[in-house]
Amino acid sequence: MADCDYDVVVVGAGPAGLAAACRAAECGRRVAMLDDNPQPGGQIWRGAAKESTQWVRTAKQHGVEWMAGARVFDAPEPQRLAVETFDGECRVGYGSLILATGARERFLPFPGWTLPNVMGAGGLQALAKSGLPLAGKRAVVAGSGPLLLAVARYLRAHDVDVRLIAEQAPQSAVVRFVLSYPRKLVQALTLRAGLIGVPYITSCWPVSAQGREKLESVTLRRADGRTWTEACDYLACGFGLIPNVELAALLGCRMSKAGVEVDEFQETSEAGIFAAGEATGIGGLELSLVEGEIAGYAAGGNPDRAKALFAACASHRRFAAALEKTFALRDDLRNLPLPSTIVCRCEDVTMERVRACSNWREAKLHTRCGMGPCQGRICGGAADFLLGWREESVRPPVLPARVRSLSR
Amino acid sequence: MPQVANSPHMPVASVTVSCNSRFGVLIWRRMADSVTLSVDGAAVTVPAGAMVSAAVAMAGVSQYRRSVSGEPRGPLCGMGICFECRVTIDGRAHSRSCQVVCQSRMEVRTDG
Repeated sequence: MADCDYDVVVVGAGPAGLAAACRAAECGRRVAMLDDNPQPGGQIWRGAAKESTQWVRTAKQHGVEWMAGARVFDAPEPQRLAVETFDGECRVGYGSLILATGARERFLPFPGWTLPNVMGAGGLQALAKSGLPLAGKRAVVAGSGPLLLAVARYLRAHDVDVRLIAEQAPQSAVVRFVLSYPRKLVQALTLRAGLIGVPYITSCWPVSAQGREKLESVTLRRADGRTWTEACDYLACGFGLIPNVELAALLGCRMSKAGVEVDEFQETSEAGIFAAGEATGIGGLELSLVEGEIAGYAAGGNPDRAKALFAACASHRRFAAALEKTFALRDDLRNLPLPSTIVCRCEDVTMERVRACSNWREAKLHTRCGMGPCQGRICGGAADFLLGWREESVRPPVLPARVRSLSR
Repeated sequence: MPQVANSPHMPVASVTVSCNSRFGVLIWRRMADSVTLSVDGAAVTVPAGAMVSAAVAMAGVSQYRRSVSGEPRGPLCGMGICFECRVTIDGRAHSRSCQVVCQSRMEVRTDG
């Protein structure tokens, strides 16, 4: 694979990345867009959604080069990324860099969560969109956030027997949220209409999953203490989203409480490095698109067109703040893991061993928690919520890479 | 024997980078309707564009790997983050099956 250089490199081909790449290319810049998935569209547009097809067409028309299955694992020198694919590696140079690395689900450990067929909510949907036939299977959708409804609706439309949706947030918060955003109310009602007969239970969460070699049933609890067990083939369970900030951290970008810190032009604390979309804080599709466009125009050298989008951006951010408040995780969930529950799935480190440490660094050194292949991407989100620990430093490679790639 | 799935949401035409193409060169092509690959020695036919993660499940395997303490594990995140779905694909160990598109005659090995 040959090394290459571009004016603008966009990491991530979801909504923010696509919008950024299109706008930067429209400004006349030579643009490359990388993503570790084989197709553009990110998670929300996985499976060639109509909206993504339009953006992909625009990107193609403006000469954006698309690098599929490309993982950025290091930034070995200024303005240069080390990239690995399934069967090769190369260096990609950039004038400006736009990080649109998206978000992942937050997982919380509970007894049985490591059983096969216990997945993320988005995780099960992604697997279904990847070709897994699920028709006739029984699924419980649980966790928190609007994603649960969207996933349940998708599964239902593909003939999955969705037994129930368990939302940990209280009903009062969900109702208040939906009523204060009329456009979202319509969206919510449309989603709900596709879910007639599926109970949407608020103040309810899974406490354990049972099965021998794979999931057979899940036990759920309501805030009032009622507990029952539901037989199912799949548990789709995610407790909201957390931004993917590892690459930004490696590049030295400052973090805010929500994600990568950016100014109004989406520029990070590092000059010439921009961030857009969920990586800067969870805000949903519309905000991701606007942030992507702003970053694209700014990196493309057209700040005036970026400025024209500031107002739209601010309004979407207010919505994001309301979303975060509504689906804030309740304290009861901190009691989900038992002492013997595995927290770090890569190294099989239990809650009692993690809790014996006083911070993330100590846990890593003493128990290997967060030291496996995922590098704490899964247990880090849990440790953040359960123990208030945050990753303090990121070192290359930010993803496991082949020795051949590292030895260049 | 695993069945060919009806998968109306799979794209008929999709962007893939051909295995032999130079990095970054795009090849837009119309793909065949289905591909057959092997999972732990058994032939599995999947819709074109399906990921290896789906093929493994369709082969009836729920344990993609064994954890360091011997527990069975399968996909969790579905998007290349968790590494729970890793398998050996054409001899490449630790490949994330959720991010590799099935190719004809691919050989997949799990711990199942």
